[in-house]
Amino acid sequence: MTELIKTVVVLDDEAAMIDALRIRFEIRGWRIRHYLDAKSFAESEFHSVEAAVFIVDHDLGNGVIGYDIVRELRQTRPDGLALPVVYLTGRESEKSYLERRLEKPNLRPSCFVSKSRVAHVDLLEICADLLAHFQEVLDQEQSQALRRAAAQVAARAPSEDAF
Amino acid sequence: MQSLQIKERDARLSFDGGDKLGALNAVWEILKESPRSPVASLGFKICRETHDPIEADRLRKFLEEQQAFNDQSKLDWVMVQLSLGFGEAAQSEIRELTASDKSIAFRLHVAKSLAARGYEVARHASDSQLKPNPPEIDLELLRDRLRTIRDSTSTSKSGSETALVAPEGRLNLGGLNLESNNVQMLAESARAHGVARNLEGLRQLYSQYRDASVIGQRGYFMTVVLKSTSVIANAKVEEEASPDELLKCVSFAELVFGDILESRYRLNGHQFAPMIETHLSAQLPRSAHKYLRWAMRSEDLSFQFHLWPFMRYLKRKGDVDGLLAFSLDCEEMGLVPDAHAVALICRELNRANRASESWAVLQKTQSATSARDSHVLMVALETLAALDRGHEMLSYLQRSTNNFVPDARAFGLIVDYFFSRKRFREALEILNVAERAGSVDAYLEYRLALTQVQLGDWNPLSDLIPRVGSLNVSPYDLFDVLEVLRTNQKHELYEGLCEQVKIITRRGDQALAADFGRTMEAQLIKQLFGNDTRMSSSTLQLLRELSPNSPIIRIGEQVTQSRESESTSSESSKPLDELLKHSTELSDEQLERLFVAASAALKILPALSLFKELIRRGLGNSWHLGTLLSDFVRHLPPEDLERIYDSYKASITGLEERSHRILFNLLAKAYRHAGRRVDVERLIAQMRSLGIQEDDFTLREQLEISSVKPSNVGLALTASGSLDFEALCRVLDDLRHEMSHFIAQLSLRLQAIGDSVGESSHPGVVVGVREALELTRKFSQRIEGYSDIADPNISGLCEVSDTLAKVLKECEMTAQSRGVSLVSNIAPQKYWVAINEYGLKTVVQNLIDNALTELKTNAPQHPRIRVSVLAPKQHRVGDLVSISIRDNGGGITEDMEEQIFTRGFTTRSGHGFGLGLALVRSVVESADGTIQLVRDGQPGAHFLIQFRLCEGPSD
Repeated sequence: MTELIKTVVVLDDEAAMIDALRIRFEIRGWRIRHYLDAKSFAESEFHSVEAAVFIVDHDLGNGVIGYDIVRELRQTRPDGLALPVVYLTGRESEKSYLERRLEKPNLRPSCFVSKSRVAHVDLLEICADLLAHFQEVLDQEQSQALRRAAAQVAARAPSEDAF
Repeated sequence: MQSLQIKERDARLSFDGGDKLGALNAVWEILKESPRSPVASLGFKICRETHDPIEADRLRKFLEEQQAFNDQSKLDWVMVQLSLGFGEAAQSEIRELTASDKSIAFRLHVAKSLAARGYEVARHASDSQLKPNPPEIDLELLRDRLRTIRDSTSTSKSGSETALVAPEGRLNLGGLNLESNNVQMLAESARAHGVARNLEGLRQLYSQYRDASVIGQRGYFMTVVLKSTSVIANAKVEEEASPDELLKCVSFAELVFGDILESRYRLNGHQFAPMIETHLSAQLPRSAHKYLRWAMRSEDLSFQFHLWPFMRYLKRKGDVDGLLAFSLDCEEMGLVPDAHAVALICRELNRANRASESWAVLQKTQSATSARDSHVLMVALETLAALDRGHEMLSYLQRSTNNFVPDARAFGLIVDYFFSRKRFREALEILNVAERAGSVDAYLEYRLALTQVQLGDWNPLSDLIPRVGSLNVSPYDLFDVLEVLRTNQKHELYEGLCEQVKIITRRGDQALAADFGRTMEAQLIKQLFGNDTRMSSSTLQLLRELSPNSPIIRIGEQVTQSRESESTSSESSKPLDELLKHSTELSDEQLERLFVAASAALKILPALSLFKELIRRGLGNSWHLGTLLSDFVRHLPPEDLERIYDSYKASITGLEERSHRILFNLLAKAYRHAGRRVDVERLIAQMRSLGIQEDDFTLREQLEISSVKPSNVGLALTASGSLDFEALCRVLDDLRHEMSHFIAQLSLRLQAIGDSVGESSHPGVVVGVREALELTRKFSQRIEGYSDIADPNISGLCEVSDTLAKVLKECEMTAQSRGVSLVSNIAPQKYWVAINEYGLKTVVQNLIDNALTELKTNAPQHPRIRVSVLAPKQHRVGDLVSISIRDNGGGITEDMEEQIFTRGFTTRSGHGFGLGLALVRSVVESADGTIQLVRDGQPGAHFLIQFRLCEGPSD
């Protein structure tokens, strides 16, 4: 079976960082779309329906915060709540991230990676896992929707007694 | 008759256009001609909105005298009383209005008005942050009204029994024989619950209704319940209720909406709008958007119903992009927002300084929306003004208003555009066009006169002033005229206008008189400062009538008397002294006004003494001092600037320390005003001269001023004389942030090389990459340590013996190189403690580092560090395991013992930040451990760290 091309979408205000991520992912056959600012990211990605992993920097400059972009992303896209998102940040510690997560449970983050910890983890593997899980969720939803539709059709069909 | 109708229409138009005073005057004219005109309702409405009970009472008395105080007028009067907080007084009238001799239709009308107005009262109270008008009052009235109606209709027994749940419990309506009325009564009750913010009551009412089987117009009732739910949700947001409460509203609304769907009631904007609104109140814009799109897809809908809540939400959020995107959404779906929506989007865009986009939206929607709509027209003119395309404004106005005479307000906008840019000739041309078009209202007449003044012709204003009292204009426009006359020293015109102001304020309300009073106080102060005797006596006379209790009057009188008694003297400082003598008697607001007037008149010494008074009252701030000095400092060379600074510093010496800070800020601002580069070193010297070296506040100011240049930060930190830990952490966090980018890029590139190079083909490269990655990891750990100083993350488990062995191995080489023997006594047992390996390593490594440094400074003959683990007697969870770290250096003296764990304390002169031991204690205590300095009589320092044993990992 042919494996689908995996996609990663990167939002970071540093071109060098995007470049490093691009090399890392493209070598392993991933497709990468990248944005330097939140506006162009929103324009292109908020209304897309393609399955992808989102890598979002926390501090996007000019006071724009990654969390806010992701919240909007989740609210706008139909599959928003299940979207796999990796927060990549050089600023916050994991502890403060967890606190924030407790404060805003509907943020539903997928994963948090501090930039200084990139050497300790394999970002590529993390993204692959997240994407696989996301596909599972979508498949489940789809099959549930099919079941619901089937049940509705069955309910509408005339019973045998009617004939 | 025809002319009366036109007058009524004009009055309503004036009211809709915001000219309430003009509308009220028109109402009076109509009523004098025809006392029974329905326009009396508008009169009461205006009084309600302008909070003018006196005018309303005048209206009531007039109608009573004319025997035109009918039931509708009584109801209007009740509404005024309720709105203005006279609920108790309105009780008897309500009883009268709902008495049994009135028709049921009228009583229902009363009920509906009460519920609806009750809502308005509540909303108004919260909008204006007045003391909330307790909805209970309205509810009480509603209950009363319900009882009255129930009693009067209890004789009618036919029809079904219907229960009505009112806020206090169940009220049996005893079978009203009108099904539609039953539904209406239920709906009114639902509205009342909405006003009372009583979701539980609404729920009960709804469940009661669901149990009742026979009722007409179900959809209507359910829709009102939905609306009331959205009202409650909205009120809960204002109350800052918990998300749970809002979610309750949402789930209840979903339930009702589901019922409406089930009952196959045809959906329209009336159902979608409250659903959208409720979801938005509960911060669920995504769900709200779902309903919005559903509504947009539905047919047979009046579009604006569901459009508005969403747009209001976006407006509240200040989400201009959202609004723009929303208008594009509408366009995509083939829907065109109505004129109000277009006006709202464009107005918000204009506010966000995005006039060009606003213009694009206007152009795009021009064909579909009615460009003749006054909202769109006004916004278009505002947009053109913002785009600085003043000359197109008139042609746009003419283009858009082919078939009707343009509104005077539209001309007013164009005139204001030219007037504010001091292009008076063009303003005059526009005014002439307006005059030819017959669209000159009183405002334009003012503008015309003022424009002529600017062009040197005072005649139109001279003609206008004697007529001001009889003109239908907003009295607030007169403030500008007063100022123009004062600055141009037109005494006669000024006196004439003061007379007219008396006429206007006598027939106006108290609020107007108070507003004029404040303006005249300001005028008087300015005139006293300017030694303008003639004008000040007219102002004084007017002020006596407007605000007889104002302390400024007494001051003015004394100043005038002292002037008269010393009329021969040319000393101009006397009146000022008189003014200042009384400054302590003035209210805060008056004092501030006096201060601003003194500053504006460049009376620096009086202003300075007023400033002292402001400081004494706790009001003085850098804004005041800035006002005082801003005109001086702007264009002065640096030497003068510093001289001024020094002289004011001297003047204010003796005041509280706060003023020093103000001065400090001022100097920084003065430097900036003068376009000088901020000299941090100089500022620090100034700060020291003020005796505030160790002030965190000032240090932070410096850090801001220095734009966080590393050299400046270092300078600021050093010069402060004490280490600001917060500031240092901030610097370290910035450093960590910067470094982490490089680490991430380096790691990703190394990983990419590792991926692309096969181990078999290039084994050397793969090993090299692995080693480089390992180094990067170590480096990243070190960098992370910087932020852990402020916020150590040590949660986890580690085994003490293994971790200590690792640390000792890492330190061994350094110790050897310094000739220090590192002795360990670690038992082979496993001791698990509640701190991660990184945390424990940080603790032990820091203590060993300290010991190594100490042994280098005070080296004994055989320098030695001993690290040992003191095992607990029994190996049980909760028992203490101790780690001892001891050296044989100079040790820690008793006087230093108290300070060693304090942040910023260090014994290394010129090196170190004094963070190590502070960090160690912070980490140990975060893991519920203890650390102490042990004194056992032996040489050197001995630290003992204790943790409680815990369960190790199961595997």
